[in-house]
Amino acid sequence: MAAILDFFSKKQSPDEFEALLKPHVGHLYRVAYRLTNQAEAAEDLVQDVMLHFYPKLNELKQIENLKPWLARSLYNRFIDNLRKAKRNPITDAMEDTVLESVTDHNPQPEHETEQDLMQQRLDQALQQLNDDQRHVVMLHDMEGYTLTELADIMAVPVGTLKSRLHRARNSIKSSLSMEPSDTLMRVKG
Amino acid sequence: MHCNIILSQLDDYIDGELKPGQRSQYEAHLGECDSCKQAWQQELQFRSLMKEHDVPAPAVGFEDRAFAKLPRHASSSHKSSFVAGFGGAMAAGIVLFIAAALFLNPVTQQQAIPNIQLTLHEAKKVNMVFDVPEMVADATFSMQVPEHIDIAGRKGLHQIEWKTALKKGKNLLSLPIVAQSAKGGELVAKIKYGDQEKVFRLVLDIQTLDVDSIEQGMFTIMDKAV
Repeated sequence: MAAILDFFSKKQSPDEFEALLKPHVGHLYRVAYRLTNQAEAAEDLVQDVMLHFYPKLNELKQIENLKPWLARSLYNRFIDNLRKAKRNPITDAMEDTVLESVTDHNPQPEHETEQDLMQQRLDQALQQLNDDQRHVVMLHDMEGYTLTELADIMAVPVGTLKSRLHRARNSIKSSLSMEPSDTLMRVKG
Repeated sequence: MHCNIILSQLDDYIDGELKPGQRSQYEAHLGECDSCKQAWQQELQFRSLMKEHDVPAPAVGFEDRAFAKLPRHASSSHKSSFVAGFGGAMAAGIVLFIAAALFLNPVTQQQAIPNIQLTLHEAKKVNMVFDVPEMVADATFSMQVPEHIDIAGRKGLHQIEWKTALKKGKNLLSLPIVAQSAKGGELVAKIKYGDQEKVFRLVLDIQTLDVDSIEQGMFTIMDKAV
């Protein structure tokens, strides 16, 4: 309802909206990709956020630090979409089918570098995490958000995020045959 | 500092979350303890690996396309603010306005004015669908709401005007309104483009009983030069 009413009262400059959002679109896409793990879904998510805020230029202009604020909006939208999809098992099944089909036909490169292989192993390790752990480790360790920012974005206390992050890192290290810091602590302790 | 404390605070140290005093003690320990220093270096290596993990670039031209899809652009998509999701509109009161001859035929057409029922003091979302035969990139849309009917959350706002783009086909406008008295009235919407104007009227009937029904109505179209 608020969106509709804001739309009525808007007197906005399209260029101003573009100038305000443009520096953040690339980063929003990265966050969206981290969450969705699909380029097309990430693009759709970013587009949704832009369309949502287009009538709210005045509101956007008042935000001091737009980057985490937009990320929070995007995250909330992602979670909403996820909940809706979970209520619609048919859609879920279709998405899975498409995903499997794409994966099946994805050709393997002839020459893989060590870095490619490590990235693949890391991808697999990330897929073994639960959603909460994966999101926090990706947004913190890969996208550089602080825990304080993530606490605001995800509406979760910093302490909870810390423990999710710790478990996620140890799980990844274990998958990559790296030494978790906990193990070192136990050996030394 | 004990090695256990050092290792338990490794994340905080790397993330820069230790206080200055703790940090200097921490660094002093790392300078003296090889095993803790090794754990720290391993952790740095891991963090570096995580940072290098990249995402595939978006499709070429994504950014331009994303901005082009905003409603102010001529290529306005079905996701514009004006078109707030046609499928979701069906649960509420809906009125269809067909502008079949929009901006092409200056002849006035008169048809029965659609009406919709509101319950006194109860907000109702009225969905107006404007079926436009061709895209209109720069239209001025205005709406006049009767004095005793409020736009929900915007008490006292009865006259609204804004610029918008209309896509070819169905354009949905959702308007949440509340009747503040039992007196009915007429909502008037106008679309102006160039020297053309189209007027759409909707009769609002007020009742005190709760009615959970979907009203559908015909429309009136009056073309005139402005």
